[in-house]
Amino acid sequence: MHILTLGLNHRTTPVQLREQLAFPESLLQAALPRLVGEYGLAEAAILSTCNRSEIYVASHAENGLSKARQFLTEVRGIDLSQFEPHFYEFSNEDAVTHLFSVACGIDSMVIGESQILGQVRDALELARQNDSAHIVLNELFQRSLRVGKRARSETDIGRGHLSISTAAVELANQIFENLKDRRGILVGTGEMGELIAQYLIDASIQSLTVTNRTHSRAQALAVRLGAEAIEFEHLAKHLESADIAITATASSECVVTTEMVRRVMKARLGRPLVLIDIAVPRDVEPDIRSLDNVFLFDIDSLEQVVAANREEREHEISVVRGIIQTELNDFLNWFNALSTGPLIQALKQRSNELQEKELARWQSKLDRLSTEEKEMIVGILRGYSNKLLHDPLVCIREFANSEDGYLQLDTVRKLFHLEGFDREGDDG
Amino acid sequence: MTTECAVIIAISLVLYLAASLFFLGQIFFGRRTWNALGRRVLRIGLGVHIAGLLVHFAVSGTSPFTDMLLIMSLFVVAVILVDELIERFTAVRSLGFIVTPLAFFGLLYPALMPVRFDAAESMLLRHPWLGMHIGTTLLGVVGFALAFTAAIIVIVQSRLLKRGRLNQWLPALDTAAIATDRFAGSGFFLFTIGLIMGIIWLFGAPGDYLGTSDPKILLAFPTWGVFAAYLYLRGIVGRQESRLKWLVIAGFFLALVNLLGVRHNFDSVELL
Repeated sequence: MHILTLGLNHRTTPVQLREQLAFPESLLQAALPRLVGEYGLAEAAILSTCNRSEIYVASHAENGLSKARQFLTEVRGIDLSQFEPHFYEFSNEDAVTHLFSVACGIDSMVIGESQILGQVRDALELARQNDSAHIVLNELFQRSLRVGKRARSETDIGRGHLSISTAAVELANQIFENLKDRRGILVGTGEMGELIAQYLIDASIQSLTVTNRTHSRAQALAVRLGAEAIEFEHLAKHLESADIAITATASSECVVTTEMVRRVMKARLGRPLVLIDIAVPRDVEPDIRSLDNVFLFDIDSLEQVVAANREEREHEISVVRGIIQTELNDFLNWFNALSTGPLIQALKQRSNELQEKELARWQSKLDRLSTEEKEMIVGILRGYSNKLLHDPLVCIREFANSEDGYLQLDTVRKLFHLEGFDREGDDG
Repeated sequence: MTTECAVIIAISLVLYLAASLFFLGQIFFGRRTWNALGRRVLRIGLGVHIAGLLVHFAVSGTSPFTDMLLIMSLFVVAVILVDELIERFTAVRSLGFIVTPLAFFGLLYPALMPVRFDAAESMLLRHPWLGMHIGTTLLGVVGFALAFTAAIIVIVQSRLLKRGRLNQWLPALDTAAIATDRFAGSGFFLFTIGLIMGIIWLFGAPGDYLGTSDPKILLAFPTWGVFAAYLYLRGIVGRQESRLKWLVIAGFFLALVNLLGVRHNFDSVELL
């Protein structure tokens, strides 16, 4: 049995092509029985999301994917030539690794996103409903769901990546548990400042005030953000009640000075003040950091947070790959145990064929012997052959349960020239 | 202490060490699963520890305040139990990475340097107020220990954020500051009640004990004073003033030194 994957995703294919190959649910309901029934594949499942369309197949023949292609051409009426450069194909170990990676979210556009886990679950459910997922794909998808859950519970892969704007909000959240009780002030009307302010609004900040040297621009931005505009001269006064200040002016001089904040902090009774300064040149005097309970994050420190997050995520991806590898070995052992029966059968068949061949070669001389003598020779040959095969057969059963059993079973196939022999046959 | 109890406490000591290593490993190596493992091992350690204490009281029937290891056992069990409740029901998290090593060393010290208070047994039997004084004061120190833990988190978190370092394992700064206040406040309340009970006992105690300068009593007042100063000052300069947290740390160390290193001089006076 072969596990095969044919697909395309956001990395290999532009959206205008991806949308042509997407499977709406109504189409999926009809497609799965046809893949198994008309196209003779043993098992089939389709994972179709806005970022990927993938057909997973369990097939007795190695060329199972050509049937999947034929299906796409005939059933979906698609000219495959335009898709060929974008398709990827995986077989067996690589196909399993791929699905596990997809379920873990490391193949997603937003690394670690968890929506994909539900989509994998839906793909399995639909294949089950349409009787196209049996023992192999059922087990494969179930295990991929387990790997996906492990990746999210044992690593920080699902934490989401940080941009400058989200890093600023994350930092503010490390100072204030609940942003709902906090007030923000946006100084300046720059685009990045507006973006951070929007993230704060999305985080349900209690209120937001906007100020700018040109008051009309502050008013326009305040309307867009649903905030209140104040005169620039009242900045210091408003800093006394604000908890998070975002500065993003085009001023060549600092608009928030150490002395100003020192006075503000006295009025604040030590309540923390978060200053997010994304202006270049800077809007906030860097000495402000020396004041207790004043937390200043300028563009450099935000970029450092983003870089550290990127590194952490790379580390998390490597940990997830480790989980995938462990689960892959586990799955392949199960898969090989499943295919031990056909391998043993193939080995016995091979032995019988050789016996028959030898007996045929000596047929003319055997004809001269009596029936008892002939039976004795055949018996010796069979007994010798059975004894010779006994130990390898015991080993095959043991290999199936060992950690690297799939590698050892492959060696057995090579030793006895059985590559493909135990996996051949027609689908259906 | 009974042999069975000593063996069981030794097992819980090893489990507390393992839990401490898991918690620290989670912080330094960023392995999320280690935190859950640490929590699990800590719970097992706590269960074993409580079982050990129950075995001891069932077998020996003596007062828990006659042996330093037993006193510290009660202290450690109370600290971990409160930590469990906090972890489960509040937004304050990661206290475990300080509480667990504290539990380990708090138990290791009297295990290595055993101290018995033989005179205390008869004293406690004759003066029940003394037992209530010790129990309530001990609960006060439990509050101080948790305030100390939260204060360390405030200082560490504050420094990390000042350097622009984002972390996911510590609670938010304001949450940790509130926790410090609440633990310090409740610890202070219990400690004060404990001291009042001690004073009631002192006035009711026969003999000339009141006239002796007991070092444990003398050191209890600066401890009380430091926490009183903290609670007063945070009202003036704000609870989130991170420098104030050093007062909590100093106050807890005074309480710990008093608990572990200083003894009442019951032996030196004739109370009857």
